[in-house]
Formats: sequence, C-alpha cells, structure tokens
Amino acid sequence: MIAALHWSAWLLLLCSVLIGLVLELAFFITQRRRYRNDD
Amino acid sequence: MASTGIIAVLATYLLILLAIGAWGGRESKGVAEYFVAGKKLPSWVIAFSSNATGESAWLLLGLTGMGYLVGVHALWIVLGEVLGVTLSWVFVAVPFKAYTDRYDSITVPDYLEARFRDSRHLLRLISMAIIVTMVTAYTAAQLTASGKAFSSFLGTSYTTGVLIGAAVILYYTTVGGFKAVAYSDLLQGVLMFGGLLALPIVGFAAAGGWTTVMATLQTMDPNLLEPMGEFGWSVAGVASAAGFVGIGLAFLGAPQLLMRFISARDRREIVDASLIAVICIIVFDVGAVFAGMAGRTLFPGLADPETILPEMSVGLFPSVFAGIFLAIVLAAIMSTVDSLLILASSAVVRDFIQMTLRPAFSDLKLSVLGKVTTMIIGVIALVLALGEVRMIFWFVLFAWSGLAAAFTPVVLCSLFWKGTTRSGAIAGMVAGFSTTIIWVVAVKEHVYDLYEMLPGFFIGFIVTIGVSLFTAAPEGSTDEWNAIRRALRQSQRGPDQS
Repeated sequence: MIAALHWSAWLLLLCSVLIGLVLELAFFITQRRRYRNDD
Repeated sequence: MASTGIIAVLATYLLILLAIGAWGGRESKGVAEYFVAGKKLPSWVIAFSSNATGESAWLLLGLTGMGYLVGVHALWIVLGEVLGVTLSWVFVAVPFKAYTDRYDSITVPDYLEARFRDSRHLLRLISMAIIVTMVTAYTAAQLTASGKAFSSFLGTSYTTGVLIGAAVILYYTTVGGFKAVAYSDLLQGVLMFGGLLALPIVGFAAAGGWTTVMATLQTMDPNLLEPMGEFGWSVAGVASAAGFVGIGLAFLGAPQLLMRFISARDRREIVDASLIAVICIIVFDVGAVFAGMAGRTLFPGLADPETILPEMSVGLFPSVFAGIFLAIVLAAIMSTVDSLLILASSAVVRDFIQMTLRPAFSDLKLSVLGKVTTMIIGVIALVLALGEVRMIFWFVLFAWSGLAAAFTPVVLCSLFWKGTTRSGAIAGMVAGFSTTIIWVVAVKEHVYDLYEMLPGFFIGFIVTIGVSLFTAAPEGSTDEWNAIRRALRQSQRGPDQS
C-alpha cells in the first residue's frame, strides 16, 4: 500500500504535515506551560 | 430539478446564517464592536474564522480540481499553506496582538500608522485604496462563483444564484458586523472541515481503495504520482512548485487574516487557536488534493476539472448530501466575502472617515456608517457580478496576491526589524502591490508562469528594507520596539503588564 505512492511523494506529504505539526506543538506546549506557571 | 431534501438543507443553512446576523446585531453598536467584535472572540472562533476566510471557493473547487489535474504535484500547495498558516500563528499572531492592543488598533492601517508615527495618514490612505479596490473585485468574483454553484447544483439561473448569495451575505454582515462574520465563519469552517474529511474517504472507498486508486492513476498518467509532475526536475517544474508553495505566504500578512488576531480576547486564546488552525488547514488541503485524485479515477475525462467536487457529491452521496455540499461550497464563498466586506468597510469608515477626516460623529453613528458602507460595497460588487464583467477575471488573478504582497512584507518588517521606517513601509507597500500587477499583466507568461506572489513579496521586502536603511526610524519607535519585545519575553498575558 505504501509502495503504491512514490517515496518522494510520501516525503513531500510528510514534510507538509510534520513541519506544521511539530512547529505548532512546540509553540503550543511552551506557551501553555508559561500560562500554567503564571496561574 | 432539485429535490425537496436539497432545498430543505440549503434553506436551513441560510436561515441559520440570518439568525447569526440578527444575534450579532445586538452587539454591533460601536466601531470596535462592529469591526472587531469588541476584541472578545474565543479560540475556536478565531481559528475557524481565520481558515475559512483564507480559503475561498478556490479550496473546494480549485484545489480539488488541481488534485484531479496534476495529482501529487498539488501537494506543494499543501506544503505552502501549512507552512504559511503555522508560521503565521507561531511567529506573527502574538507580537501583532501585543502591538495592536498597546496602540488600541482595530484595523491593520491603524497599527501601521501608530507603529510608524504617520501623522500625515499616508499609510492609511494607500492601504484604504488597495483594500477597497481589491476587495470589491474579489467580492464580485466570489458572488459570480455563488451564481455558478446554485446553477450547477440546483439548476437555478445564474442571476438568481448571485442574488440569493449576495442577499444572505449582505444581511448578516451588515446587521451583525464582525461578530456575526466570525461566528458564521465558525459554522462555515466546520462544514468545510467535515466535507473535506468525508469526500476523500468516500471517494477512495468508492474507487476500490488506496492501492487501486494509485494503480489506476499510474496507468492513466505516471506523472500524476510524481511530485514534480509532468515538468520533472526542470526550471519549469521548480517554478511551478515554488509558485504553489508561494500561495501560502499570504497567510503571514493578508489584512483580512490579521484582523482575526486583533479580535482575539487575549493571547491565551491565540495560543489555543493556533493548534486548531494548523490541524484544520492540514485536513482542508490534504483532503482536497486526495479527493481530486480519487475523483480522477471515478470521473475521468471531465472537461472542467473544477467540477469534480459537484460530480463526486452528486455521484457518490445520497441526494440530500448534494444539498450539504452546496452549502459547503457556499460556506467557502460566504466566509471569504463577509470578511472582505467588513475589511473594506473598516478601511473606509475607520481609516478614512474617522481617523483621517475626523468628523465629530458619535461611536453609534460611525457604526451605522459602517453598515451603510458594507451595503454599498456589497451592492457595487453585486452589480459587477450580475454583469459578469470580464475585468473581474483580471482583478481576481492578483486580488489575493495583491493584498498579501502589499501588506505582508511591511507587517513582517515592522514586527521583526526595529529599523523599519515610515518611508520604507510606504515604498514597500506600493512596490509589493505594483509588482504583482505588473507581473500578471506583462511578465508572468514569459517566466514559466511563476506565481506573482513570489516576485511581489521579494520586491516588497527589498524595497521596505532598502528604503528603511536610508531613512530615519520614527522618534521613540526603536525604544518602544525594544520594550515590546522585552515584555513579550517576560510577560504571560500582555506587554502592558510588565
């Protein structure tokens, strides 16, 4: 199933999703921790 | 002839929008209430409103059509949009909110004028001219899409479709103001999310599953499964991929999106909204591209790839769902148009009448003026749409990129470089906007059809930075910039608390 799509297409798809999610989660977790400390 | 079920679904959806308009109208009796909902919006609303505003009918008809036409090459658009949305929430939203709260700004030109101490209002006037021109044309084009959506789903005349779409949008936007716009965007964003989650799943199931779809696409055209598409690793291929990625740059500074940050209750709401917005844009874009790819195997040979979503909704779902998908297409159109109308109205009433002409009008009178202006701009767009003026097509080509290229380089420089000056901001705004127009009209076809956003951004940044290097920053702005940055690092809620 995975092989049905060329590896470079998987790479593009994963980059699109993971870059956004990783960056966003890092921001979200850091900021939430600051708010918790503030409370 | 449309079934009763489809009409019932559609009527329900439109009635809910009218109800939201009436509900929002109770709290739109001041300028800040009418244009930014009193800066009280919660995370879910600003997240969905931001994405629904940023994605017009182009997402549902254009991006699914792109998946149909070029296959995985369209994933470059996903990369660009996910990056644009993420960077915008992670890096732009919080400092922009801090600045606009400090200045008590309710529009982007408000912010620019205060940031650069522009007592002559030049930044306001240029911003207003760009916003009103682009928004009117873009609104007309979206109303055109409304007419076409009604006629393709329900078989009504084009004129009827345009009139119904315009009447509903104008009612809830005029009466309900930004609050109604934002909450209707929430409903519309949720509808779009559901539709773009369901469509690829049902599409792939109907086409025989993942492996079958991929094998069929491979047989039809192997380029459909290649990231660089038919161009391969050539200059044309790289230009095409770069142009697709460039579409997402607009999320970093288009004024209609920055308004969502201004309207947030506080920075905590922005942080919560950021996660929702990023997940939402991933589902929107990946869903649209893969729905188009599944659609290619189910409905090969469509004369217009952008009809793949209506084809799939009618061909794969029970008839009542066709009504839901029509509502989803209308949602994408309306959520963009309402936000643009409010943006243009705020440019005229707040930036021109209230802050430049400075008449002795009460807050209530100004908000009424805002409603009248929203109606006038909407009616002008309606007349243009009914006439199917050919000029609209040309305006739409650079409306999205023109707005973004004019504002994004200037806004980003103003937030992240203390050396940005008033002259640099004015020159950068004019240069970014002009470049997109010149590029579309005279250059684009000679340079591998490179998307105008990229040169618009590049020139906008170069001119903003270049002119700023040779002019003096406004007095006190450097100290203020340092203070805000320090406060952002230290405080949790807002710069004024440190």
